[in-house]
Formats: sequence, structure tokens, C-alpha cells
Amino acid sequence: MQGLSLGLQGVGKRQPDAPERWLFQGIELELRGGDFVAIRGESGLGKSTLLHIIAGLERKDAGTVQLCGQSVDSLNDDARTLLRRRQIGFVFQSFHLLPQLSARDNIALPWRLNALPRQELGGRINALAERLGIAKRLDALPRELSGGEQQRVAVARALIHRPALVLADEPTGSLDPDRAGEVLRLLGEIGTEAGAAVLMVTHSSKAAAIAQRQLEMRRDGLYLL
Amino acid sequence: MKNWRIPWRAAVWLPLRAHPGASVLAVLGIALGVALGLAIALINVQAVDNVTGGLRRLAGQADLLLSRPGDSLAQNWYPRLAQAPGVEVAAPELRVSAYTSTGKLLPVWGIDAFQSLALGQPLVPMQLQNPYELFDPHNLILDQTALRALGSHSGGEIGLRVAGVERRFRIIGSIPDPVPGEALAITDIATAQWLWGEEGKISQVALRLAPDVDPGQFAAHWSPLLPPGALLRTPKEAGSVAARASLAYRVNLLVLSLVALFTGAFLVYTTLAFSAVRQRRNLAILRVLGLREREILIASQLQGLVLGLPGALLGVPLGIFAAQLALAQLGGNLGAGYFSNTGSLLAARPGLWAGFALAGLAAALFGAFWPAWSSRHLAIVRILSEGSEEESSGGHFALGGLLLLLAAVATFLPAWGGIPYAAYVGIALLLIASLFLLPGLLFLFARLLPLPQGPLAGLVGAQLRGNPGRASRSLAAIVVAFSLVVAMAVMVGSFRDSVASWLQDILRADIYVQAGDSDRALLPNGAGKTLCALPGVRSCSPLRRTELALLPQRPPVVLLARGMNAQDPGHTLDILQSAAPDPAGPPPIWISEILAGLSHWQVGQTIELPLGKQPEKVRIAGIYRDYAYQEGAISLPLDTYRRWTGDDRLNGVALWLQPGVATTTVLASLRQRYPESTGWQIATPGEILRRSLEIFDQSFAATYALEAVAIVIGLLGISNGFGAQTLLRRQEFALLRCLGLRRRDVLRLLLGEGLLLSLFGIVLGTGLGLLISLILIKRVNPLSFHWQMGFHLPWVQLGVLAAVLLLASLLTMLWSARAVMGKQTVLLHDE
Repeated sequence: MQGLSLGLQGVGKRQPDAPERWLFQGIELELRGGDFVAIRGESGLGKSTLLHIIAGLERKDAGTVQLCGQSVDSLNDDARTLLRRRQIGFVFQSFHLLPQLSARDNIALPWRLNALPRQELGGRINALAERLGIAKRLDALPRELSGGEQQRVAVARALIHRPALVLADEPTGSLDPDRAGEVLRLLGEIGTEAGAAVLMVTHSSKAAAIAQRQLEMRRDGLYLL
Repeated sequence: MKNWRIPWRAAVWLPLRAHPGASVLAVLGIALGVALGLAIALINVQAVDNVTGGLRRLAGQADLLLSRPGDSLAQNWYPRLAQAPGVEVAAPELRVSAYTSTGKLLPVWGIDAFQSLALGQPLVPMQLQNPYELFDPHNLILDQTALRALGSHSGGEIGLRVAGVERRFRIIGSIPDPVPGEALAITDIATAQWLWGEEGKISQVALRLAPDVDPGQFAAHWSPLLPPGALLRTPKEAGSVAARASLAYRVNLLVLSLVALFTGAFLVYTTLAFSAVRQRRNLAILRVLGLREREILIASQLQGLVLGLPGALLGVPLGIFAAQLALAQLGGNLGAGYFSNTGSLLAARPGLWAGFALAGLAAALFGAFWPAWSSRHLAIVRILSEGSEEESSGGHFALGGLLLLLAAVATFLPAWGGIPYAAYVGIALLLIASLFLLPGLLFLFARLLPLPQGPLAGLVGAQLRGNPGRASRSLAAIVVAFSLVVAMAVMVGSFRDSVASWLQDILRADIYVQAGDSDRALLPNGAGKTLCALPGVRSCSPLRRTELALLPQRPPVVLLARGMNAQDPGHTLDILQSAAPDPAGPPPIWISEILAGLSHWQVGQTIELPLGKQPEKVRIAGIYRDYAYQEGAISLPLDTYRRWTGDDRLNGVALWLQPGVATTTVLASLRQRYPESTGWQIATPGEILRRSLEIFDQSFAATYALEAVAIVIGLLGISNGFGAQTLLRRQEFALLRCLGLRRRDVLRLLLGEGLLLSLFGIVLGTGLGLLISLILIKRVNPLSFHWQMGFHLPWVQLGVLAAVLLLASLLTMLWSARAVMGKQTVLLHDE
């Protein structure tokens, strides 16, 4: 049994424009390395906000967040950032690759930010690119890549530094269904093989079905589907 | 045309309102540019109007003026002309000067009051109770400036030193300043001739002709009969000659004043270029909805109008205020010495106001045009489908190269009407070319620059290499501003260095004694010999300075008759070019390079000088450097001058002391011998050098103001550009924060980019500035002013300027980045 990658207890967030009302509350979740969990829910429920709270990018209004055994609340911005740098990988709906960097440099960015050994970097990029089918596209700039290729580069970037947790926010929203399924399968496979917990939020039941476990997000908590 | 329907709010107004800070800064930039240009133009026009208007007022209703620049006329010309057929009124005048008790020279004009009144000259107060009072040699009329300067009043008494004798005068009346700001005293012409020892001489005769007499024909008939050097001109011609003297200087200053406006145009460019990028998605939607390409162009021009109009309207009152303030503080000459004083009240000049307001508007429209032009072909589908905010590289090497070529051609075109307009256009083209070449050069710079290892440095390099178009937009205004600052600093530094080394070269005596600034300031009779014979004086060189009307439609040139050795002119003059000696030829003279430029005379050429009773043939034996006399100068041996003219008066003497004799000892004997010498100008070479450089620095005070405003506008451009760039890259920064970059890491990243960008801006601005300074020094200056100067790089000044700019731009960038980052929340919502 792997150690706890993520622990959420009673996490809640008030609506920014109406603080007397909860956007969501009572979120409980535990993820260990190798887990691949999808959270489903309709738009506007705060799925992305939950991911941002987990990553320490937004403040919660209730509950506790434990990341790799550390309480995110007790950390200042710098410490939260360093924890995120080391332990989290992100995949977004709109890919968010840096346009001026090649695919290879985009993938390498978290590795270099974490000052991991340079000599391993090339091999690691090649291995990931091979698995994701983008080995021949590593020198291309993002604008030269198709949507599917860009998302594969984003997946590689999320996994390169072997994070404990991969957060994926509607990772297939910009892809056609065939490519979406393939990218998600690869994300789940590679992520879990590497011992990371993968948490994906999506409104698509088809995408969620690829995960090991599906949860539905409601205003008062997460429910197993 | 009639179908142009631009959604005003969506395409024009809202994008500007979305970034009010940037829009306000652009408006301010235009306002500052308009204000500075207008202020300088207003002061210039006012100064010239005062000179020419003063001349016109002084002439009254005269149709013609007879004068002999630098010399007097025989008195008998007055009755000859007064009795000539066709002359209704003839008013004679003798211009002399006296020293006030404070040692200042006061011009005194001797007039015939009745003839002057008949001619309508404003020289006699109408309220004078007894007009015959002016005939009393103890009485004077003063103008308002003279009254103020002497601290006196009508009915009061003043003491003046007249031809070496202390005399008391009663002030019997006052007149408004005939020339604003110039002190003047009026006396009877007979008094002036008698007290000043100028019997039988007059300076000018003003003539009013009968209505049926043509002044041109009258002048043509009389001119051949006049003595050498005498001129019979209309008051308008006299005024235009006076104005022409400063034309090149005024055009030069006006062009430099447009520098700020030009920089302002680049500020608008920066603002709207980023606005265009930010609006891409909106514009793409509008294009889908039916907006045509040309309508996008019109929308951008409307944005230029929205920014330019308030800027121009704000700049006009600001410029009037600045001009008024400068007039009160510096006087109309802006320190340059072309205009002695201009009074302190500005006249209303709606034409000029409107002209500069339009120039401001044009600058804003120019700044707005290019971003719209370059983004008119939107890749609509791609922008809408991918949400890309990316833009093209922004580089246009071919266009930039073409403009560069045109700039080179324009630089080498000749002057037109004595003004190098084409060279000015060449400078403008050079700056615009740099705009198109900027991205490519930045790419090269980022590629060649060795950056340290590390992810942040890598990101900095990648950003600059990957998107040079965007980065260079922030730089446009500051590159233009800094290049102009460098150009002005190099030009002024070169000129200052040239003047200093010229002075050091020609000031070889130990003491220089001058009776005053004016030609009319004379040493007492016999002072030349006495001074040369003072104990401790080894040798001396007397100087007589006068004027000669030599070139048509130009002010008189200065004639310097010196105690110089004709066999060794290099001992006295900074000779640039010499002719082979010709002992059998006419007597030699040396002309200044300014006179050579104006007259196109060559060394070895024989010309005629209107000196003495008949024109004298002389040979130009050489051309020498002279920065002192802007209208040109002639030097010749004093003996030759005296032989021709019989004039043995002196304006000054240069003294060489015996070895070991202290300057103070000789000065003490001089003071003892001539107690009135307190009013003279006595100086050592060191003092002259120091004073000259002080005057020089004052003269260029206006350029320092221009430099400061250009830099401020450039910094506004950086602030706008970097702020906009940071806004555009919010998602990128948010992503980097997601990937684990701390807030300070992102700021360090921005700081690194800012540092490299500023460095690049400074390097490019310096290069461009050096090119522009070369054009100014090697083309504009010789074509405008007809003298050359060396090329001197004021390294220390440039280094300080670069360091200040680097710091200021870094702080500006950090400030704008922090301001934008401060507002940043999480920006990666895809929902």
C-alpha cells in the first residue's frame, strides 16, 4: 500500500460573489499512489476550484488539505509553491504550453525547475515521448502541433518529474473523443505506473469512465458512482 | 465608403477603456510632446517677431533706410537725400553708446526729434511738455527697460560715462520699448555728435518717399552713388535679414523640439500595438460578424484620434504655460544669443497652436496606424478556434532595409534654402526603419548573448528569441528616446569639446582687455599704446572690431583688424586652409569657415571689401576656424585696415607678459592708469574659457529639457509596453506558478527580461544615436551653420545616461509588472 498522496477533510469553499452561500462543502477524499480517480459534475460546481485549492493556488473556507503528509494550510506561499513544484503535475483543458519553447523544452521545464539531475533528463523525455507517441515532434513549437499532440506534450510535462499527484482539469475538453480516450488512457497508465495518484475533473461521463474510480461532485460533497 | 459602420464601443472605445492607465499615459505622452514643441516654437516666433517688429516700428512710416553696417555715414548724405526729388521726410540718426555706473553699455540714439515725429517713429514721448527740451545736451529720454535697469524715473537724474567722461543727465520723459526688452536712451543728434566726438557723422537716414515714387526704383538709382558698404533697403528687407540670421538655428531647434512629439508617437504605437494584440479575439469575432479589413484600420485610426485629441488639446495650454515660464526665466534667446531679449509677454498665436495640436494628432494617428496595418489580416478561424493571443514576429526586414536606404539617400541630399530638410527627413526615416528592424535585431541579440544556465535564464532567452515582436514593441519609444538623447549629447559634447579646444588654441596672450561687447565700445584714445607700455608687458596685439555688409540678404559680417603677422597667421588664427603666398597680389585677408560656407569664396580668390572711400581689392589667403561670429568674420592686419580707413580706434588689446611677471601686478597698473576700466572686460584665457563654456552650457539648456522630456516619454512607453506585455502573459505566469515558480521567481524572470530588454534598448539606442549624431555633425551642422566640429564622445555622460535609463526602465518595468501581477488571481480556469 502506497502512502497517502492527498487527503481532503471537510473541504469547503464559499461563493466569491455571495459568501453566505457555499460553492461546495464537506469534500472528503483520500488518494494514494497508483490511484486514478475522476470527479464528475456539472459546470459551475467548482471542480476546477477544488483542484486549485489542492494545489495551493486558491484558499479554502473550510476543512483541511494534506499533500504528501503535509498540511497545505500551514505553509506560506513560498513553501506551497515549492511543494507544488515538486509533488504536483498539471494537465489543463487548453494545454497551456509555453508558446516560445519547443515541445522538448516544455516537457523539461518541471525537471529543470526542480534542479533534477540533467544527465537523466534526455532519456526520461525520450521515454515519455515514446510512450505518448510524440517522439518525432519534440523539436516542434506548440503552434506547429495538433491539439492531440499538444495535450500529449502537456501530459509528459505533468509526469516528467515524477510527481506524487497529477491534477487534470478537463484534460480532454479540447480534443475529439477518439484522441481524448487515448490521451486519458496514457495519462492513467503512465501516471499510475510511476506511482502517482491521478485526480481528474471532468463533466464528461465517457472520460470519467476511463478512471479506476468515479466520484460525483455535488454542493455538499463527493459521492461514489 | 457610406457602408462603414464600425461598432464604436466594441472596436474603439472599450479596448481603450479596458486599460485606462495605458491610455492615459499615451495621452500624456502626446500632450508632453505637443507642449514642448509648441513652447519652443512660441518662444522662437515671439523672438523673431520682436526683432522684425521692433525694426518695423522703429522705421515708422519710412519707405527706405540708408545705413552702413559697421561704419558711419558722412553727415552730408542727410541733406543730399532730404533734398532729393521724391523724398518727403528724411530723419537722420546717430547711434552711440555710454557706460552706466554699473559698467553696462547703454545704446544712445541721437535723433532729429521733429523729423522723427514726422516719420512716426516711436522715439519721442507724445506727452513731452516742451519738445525743445531734447535739444538741451543734459537731457535724455529713456525707454521702459532702461528706466528699470537704471532704477530711475521720469524727472530723475542718471550718471553716464560718455566717451571717457562722467556726465549727469536729466530724464525728461520715457517711451515704451521700441524693441521689447532692450534698453535705449534718446538724445538730440547734435548732442550725440558733440558729446561723443562724432561730429559730421550719422548712422542712418530714414526716408519717406512721395506716394508716386517707387522705393525700388529710388534705391536702384541711389545705390551706385553710395559709399562702399552702405545699403539703401526697405524696413522689411532689413527685418528679413535680421530674421534670416537665426533661421537655421530656429529650424534646428524646432526640429529638435519635435523629437519629443516623435517619441510620443512611438508611445501611442506601443499602447495601440498591444491593444491590437489584446483585441485579436474581439476583432476576429467582429470580422466574423462582418467588419471589413479597412474598417479595422479605421477603428484603429479612431483609437488614435481618441488618444491624440485630448493629448493635443491638453498639450496646447501646457505649451503656452511652459513658453511663458521659460520666457520669464530664460528670456527669448533660450540662451543661444541670437535674440538679446524678447520681453515677457506671449502674443496669442492661434495658427501655431492649431499647427501643433494637429501635429500631436498626426503623431497619434501615425502611432496607431502600423499596429492596425500589421494585424489587419487576421487568421480569424485560428484565433477563434485556438484562442491564440500570439502575434507575428513583427519583423519587417525588407521594409526596414528599404527605409534605411532611403534614410541614407536623404542624408546626402543638399540643403534647400540654407536648411538641410532632407537630412532631417533622413533622421526620421532612420528611426522608423529601426522600428521595423527591432524584432530581428532583438532576436539576434538574444541569440548571441551568453545567458547563464538555469531554467529561469532559459525562459528569459526563450521568451526574447521566441517572441521578439512583442518584446520589441515595449522598446520602441525608449529606443527612439534614447537614440535622440545620445545624438544630442554627442552633438553638444562634440561642439563643446571643439569650442574648448579652439579657445585653448587661439587664446595665447596672458590678458585680454576689451572695452565691451559691442563694436561701439571703444578704448580711450591712445589706450592701445599705453597698455602695451605698461610695466611687465612684453608685447601686445591691438584689435579693432567692426562690421561690413558683404553678402546680399545676409546680416553684416564681423571685420577683425588685429595686430597680426601676415607672414605667420597661424600664430593668431586656427588656420584650416591656406593659399600659396602671392607677394605681388592684393593684400591678404583670412576669412572664417562660416563666411567661406556662406559666400562660397575659395582660398586664393580676389574679392573687394567695401572699406574706406573706395572698395579695396584683397586676396583670401586662408580660411580659419571661428566659432564666435555666426555671420562670418574676416581677419586682416590692423595696419592694412588703418591705411585704408584712417580709423585708429581700438576695441581691445591682448597683452603678453614678461616671464615671471604676475597677471595681478599688470592688472593693478592697468586699473591705476584707467580707473574707468572697471566697466571693461578684462580676462585671462582661463577666465574666458570658463565663461565661454558657461555661456555654452546655458545656450544648450533647452536641449537638456528636450532630452529629459524625451526620456520621460520613453519611460512611459516602457511602462505601457511592459505592463501590457505582462497582462498578455498572465496565463503564462499563472502556468509557471502552477509549475512551481514562486511569486519572486516570476518577478525575477520579469526582471531578467527587463534587464536584457533595457540593455538591448540602450545598445541599439546608442548605436542609432551615434548614427544620428554623425548626420547632425557631418551634414546638418555644416549645411545649416557652415562650420565643422570634431566628433567627440562624452563617454562619462553617456555612461551615466545609460545607467540612469537602465535603472529607470528596470524600475518602471518592475512597477508595471507588480501592478499587473498584484491584480492577478488564478487565471487558468478553462470553464
